[in-house]
Amino acid sequence: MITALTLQELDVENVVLRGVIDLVVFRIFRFDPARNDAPTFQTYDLPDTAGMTILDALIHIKENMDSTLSFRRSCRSAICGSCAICANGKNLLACNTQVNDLKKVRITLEPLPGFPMMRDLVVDWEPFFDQYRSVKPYMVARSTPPEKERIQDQKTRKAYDEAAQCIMCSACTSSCPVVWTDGNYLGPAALTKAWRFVADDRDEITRERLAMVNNEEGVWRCHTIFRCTDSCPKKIDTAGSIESLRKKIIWHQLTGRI
Amino acid sequence: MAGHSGLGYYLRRVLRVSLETGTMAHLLHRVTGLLIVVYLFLHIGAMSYTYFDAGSGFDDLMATFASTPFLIVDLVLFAGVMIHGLNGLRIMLFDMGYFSRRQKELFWVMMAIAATSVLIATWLVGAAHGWW
Amino acid sequence: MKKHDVIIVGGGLAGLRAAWKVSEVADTAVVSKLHPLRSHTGAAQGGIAASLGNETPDSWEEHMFDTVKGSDYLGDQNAIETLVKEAPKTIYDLEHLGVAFSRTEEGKIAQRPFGGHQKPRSCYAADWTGHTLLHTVYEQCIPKTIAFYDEWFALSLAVRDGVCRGIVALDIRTGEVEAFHSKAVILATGGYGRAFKITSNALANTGDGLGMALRAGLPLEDMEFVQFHPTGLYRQGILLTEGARGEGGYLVNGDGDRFMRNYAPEKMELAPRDVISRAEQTEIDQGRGGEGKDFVYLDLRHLGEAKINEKLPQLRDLARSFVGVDPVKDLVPIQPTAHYSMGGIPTTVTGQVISDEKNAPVTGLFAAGECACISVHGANRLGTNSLLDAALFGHKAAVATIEYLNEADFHPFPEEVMIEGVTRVKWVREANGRESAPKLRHELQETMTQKCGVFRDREKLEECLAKVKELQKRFDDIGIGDRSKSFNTEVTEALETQNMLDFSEIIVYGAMQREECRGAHWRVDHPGRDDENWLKHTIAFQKEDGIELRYKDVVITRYPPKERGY
Repeated sequence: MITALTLQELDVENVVLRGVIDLVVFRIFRFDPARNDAPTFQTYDLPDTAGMTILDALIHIKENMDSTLSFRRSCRSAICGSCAICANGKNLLACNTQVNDLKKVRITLEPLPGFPMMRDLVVDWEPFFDQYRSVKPYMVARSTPPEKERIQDQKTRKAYDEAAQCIMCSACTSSCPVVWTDGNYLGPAALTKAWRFVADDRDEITRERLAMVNNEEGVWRCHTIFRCTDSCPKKIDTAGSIESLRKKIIWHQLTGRI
Repeated sequence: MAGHSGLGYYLRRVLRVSLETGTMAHLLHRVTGLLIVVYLFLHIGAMSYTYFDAGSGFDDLMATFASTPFLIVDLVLFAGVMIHGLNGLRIMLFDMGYFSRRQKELFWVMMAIAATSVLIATWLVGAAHGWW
Repeated sequence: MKKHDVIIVGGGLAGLRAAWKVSEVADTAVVSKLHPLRSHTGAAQGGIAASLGNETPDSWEEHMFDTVKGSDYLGDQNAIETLVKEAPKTIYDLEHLGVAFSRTEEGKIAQRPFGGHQKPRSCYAADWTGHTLLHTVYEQCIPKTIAFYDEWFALSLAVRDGVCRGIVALDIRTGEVEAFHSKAVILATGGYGRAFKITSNALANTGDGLGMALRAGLPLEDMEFVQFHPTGLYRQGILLTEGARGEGGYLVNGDGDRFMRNYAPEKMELAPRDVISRAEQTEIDQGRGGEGKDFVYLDLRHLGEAKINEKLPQLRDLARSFVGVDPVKDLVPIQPTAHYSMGGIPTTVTGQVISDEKNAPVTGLFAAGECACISVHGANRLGTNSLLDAALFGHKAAVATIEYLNEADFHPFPEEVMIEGVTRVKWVREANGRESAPKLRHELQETMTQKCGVFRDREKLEECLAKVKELQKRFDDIGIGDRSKSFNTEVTEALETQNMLDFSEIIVYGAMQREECRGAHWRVDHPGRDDENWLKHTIAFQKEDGIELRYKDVVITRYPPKERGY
């Protein structure tokens, strides 16, 4: 009944579908390189999505409606980073996003933008991991370690706490407009990784790391659009990491350390 | 896969995605930047016109510029400069390592300052030209 | 045919630690069905144990005693001694590699209490310890020369005449099957929690390595011991770290009582997992669950927002996104969830896989991590000992492999294993039957949780076994809709289901025969531990005419069995 609808529900889609019939239409990107067809969108209607995550919906579709749908998933608790996809234009993890939280009757699911497509919602992550590998994403400590642990104060530990929680799901890099136009840009995930080691006082190649990102395809390519931070499922301030690198570089230059 | 990168892809993406604050700021910055560049060329053009056509031309031109439609265009330009400049200031603050966690709020603070200054400017211009 | 000196199957903590070490001397390849960073090690939250004594004085003897007692005396004490003695060195090594451990005020590695441990010895990084371990060890593998075969699904082990000659694997991206010829294979394929409906495990944790071992004619050890973690998020089973109780969280029932005072008056919420899971299940079964339903509550409200944010940020996030409650102000609904497999592929302390109860080695085959049974966890694993197990024995398996490589050479690769692999994948991809593989999997999970869960009895187990056998038969008649060769997850999921059907039979059969209560295995119809008859390991073989069980003595060196109270 129209009279029973609240003002908020007077959004056309909601009146027509959400308010009257409880139904969500999933519009899913389909592509199979083996079939040589152009990519298409296929729709699936799910009647009851209460308490369902997007990943639950995908699994439901795969098991009950169309077994040929392909997507990555593993831990379904937002830590492995497999299920990052693009839903209604926003990058997120399928496993920790409730369908009904999107408040839409039509949900378009696409593979992560900016990466080569492999099949349906699966992308080829090689370019992403190439960027990651290029920043030396590992601690380099050439001095002989002490017999026990290296001592590190809590303040330093806190400095890289956030960056170390990155799950490499690539939601940030894939949401970055600069990455879309410039394939050589390192991107927020790789730069956040660089910051993780710059901020860690156990690492001994800080100057080399700063030099590695102090160029036009490194920190200076970032346009501070913050789409990366907005899309991070672990709420890491990736743009902030890039800014922290910039600040450190400027400071090093002012004090003549680079 | 072709069509999955490059400028066309960027435009299709940016125009389709939900306009989060950061994206909006980014787009506004580009639009206002273009606006200012276009104005700069018009400005140089107009000034050189008076250079080549000395005499009454300059005064006539100035009179035209003082007419209401041109004043409104001036105010739009002023708004563009304020938005561009203040957002530039916002980005500089980030680059110095401040407020990146508060980027959304900072954007709206800057836009509030821009809006207030445009309102004041409108009031001053209106008072000078007898709009009220 | 691909050729490497050493093939490591699995890219979790154990596999990567092994790869990191072996690659120092040999041409190493890691074959994993997930990108290594997606491995389930990353989901470990609470910590990794070692008697560093950074918070209170501690010793390896105490760690050993706790582990032995926790294992309900089924753990092999020589292996446990190795585990606890080398634990501190392992932690320091990991710290030197860059693991982001939380720190004490003096800047040492912080440690917190954990269930079953008398001293605070869980070294942690907030509640994402596994994540930092996995990422750090993977990162350190990058500068090494290791060939990573990401998203390759291992199908079978090439074992002939007691010698392992490599593996056969399916490239998920292209659908092609390929043989990997090697001098040695290290299995690090992880656990099998997915055989159960409510589980903390990833969708990928389907025990594929165990299926491979069975098909190669190798036995599995102590499979009936499956740990149920007391704090799985209601209905999802998603893990909420034991660290929550380590930091002082309470467990309360529907009436608001801290019911653990009736079950483990001394240790309360810090009793081992099997004890608490049974307590929870008893509360639920006797109608004292929350809202009268099948869950109880985890109460963290008294810890305060600051402490929760600092020490348990992930827990807060999980509770909010999956059940919509905020632990800062609400009770979190929880239930026991299948969490860890104590059993697995039998190995010696060095990681050498053995093929019978007399410790006959399978030349060139090693195993480490959750897929292996050394056995350090016996009948019940203590929290934080699994990361330690994976990190330490992954490393040890690598050392043993390196030693083996000194005299090893490539043995001819058995063609029939390759043909078998190709045929199997082709059969699944073209299967045209009436059964749906996902449906079979759901039925398996449902029956395993209902009938082979926290509380077991003969009747239920017999029903369960009959069901598993029925499902195995029905699997022969599956139908697959996706014929594509590229990234065909329907095919890999069916292969996983097949693996689970294979080893689940062994879990149930072993549980049926073991007529006692020990650790995580609880027979309602046979109360009490029976050391006289059952202080021994189950070694199960899958033969043509059914399962054959043999038994192996437990190694007891320091601590003779005593009553286990908390």
